[in-house]
Amino acid sequence: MIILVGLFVTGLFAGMLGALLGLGGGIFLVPALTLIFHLPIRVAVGTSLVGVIATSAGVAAMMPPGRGADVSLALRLEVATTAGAIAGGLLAGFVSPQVLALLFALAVFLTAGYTLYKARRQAASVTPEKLFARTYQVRHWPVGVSMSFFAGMASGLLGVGGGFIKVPIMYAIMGVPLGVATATSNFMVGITAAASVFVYYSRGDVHPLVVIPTALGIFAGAMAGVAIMPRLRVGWLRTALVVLMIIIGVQMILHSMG
Amino acid sequence: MLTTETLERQMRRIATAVSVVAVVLMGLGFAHTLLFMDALSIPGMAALPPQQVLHLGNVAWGLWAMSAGILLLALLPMLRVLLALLLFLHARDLLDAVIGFIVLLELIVSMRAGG
Repeated sequence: MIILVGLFVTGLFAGMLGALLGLGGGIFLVPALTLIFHLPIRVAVGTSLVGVIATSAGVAAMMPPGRGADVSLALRLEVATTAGAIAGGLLAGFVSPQVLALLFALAVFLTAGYTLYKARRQAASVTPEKLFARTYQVRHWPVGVSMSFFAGMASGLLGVGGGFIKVPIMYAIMGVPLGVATATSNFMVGITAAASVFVYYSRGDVHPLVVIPTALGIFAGAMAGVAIMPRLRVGWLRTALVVLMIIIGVQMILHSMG
Repeated sequence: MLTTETLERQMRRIATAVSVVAVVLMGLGFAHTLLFMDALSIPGMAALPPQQVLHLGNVAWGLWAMSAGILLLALLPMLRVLLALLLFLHARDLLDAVIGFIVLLELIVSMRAGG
């Protein structure tokens, strides 16, 4: 019974962070399920993919009007992301995991650096930055689409939603307000996870006694995350995102060194 | 013309409705399994294959309800893309409708690859 409570609490934490940062939560769930609960990696990834969909659903159900995803932008980027996820799944057997981890670390550090650079430029400007906006100009489509393909490949290869790449790209490069970028990423990670979840389901890697307490925790956490989001400042959210990217980058470098 | 508000409202409705049904099914199945199982082992049994969920036969009710809830949740992103596609079509926003159709097609391809 303690294990079930532990899974619920892990899901709660992943769901809250996922809702706040526009991630699916897979980047926390897979290491937690394998390192703390000693579950096989395939069961952890299968559980994580259902968890990513639960975060996406929980956020969508709770988002107040005017704070939802930019569906048109999400679908345009998702064409590349889903293609990347399929390509990533096919490539999984050919690319060395060490090389892959190093490439991801490089992408994550570059994005973190660009986010900080943009924040410093924003701090110098007189207009305060808004978390949400009704009108904004989406820029640098070719870069955004290419990086979305890369995020999809990360998803297909590592079993994560890829939100940790999508949010900084939309925010720092494409000029989408941070709140809109997180909501749009939450919508996108659900679709990306759906592209892989049936592979794991049909292989028998989805176990209800693990998935359900985790998913219920995620729903509760995602709802709590949406509720506290309007009270947060852009600066706090941005700092959390950069710290998370640095942790993930270091983790990937360590992984690449075996 | 399709407004952001309409799209947001419809997306919220479908996400809420499907999530509630999925959570109820998963919760009831989980409670039933915990009450009637002899010993708790983790990770336990794998979810039932989709064919067995559709043709309810000689399976434990708890496992069926948990598997049906998980499958319903897994189908939600596809339903949201389908809804967006229909709303874009209704609003004669052909470019977004075509993009939605491509994403839906990619999801179906990935599902078949999984099967």
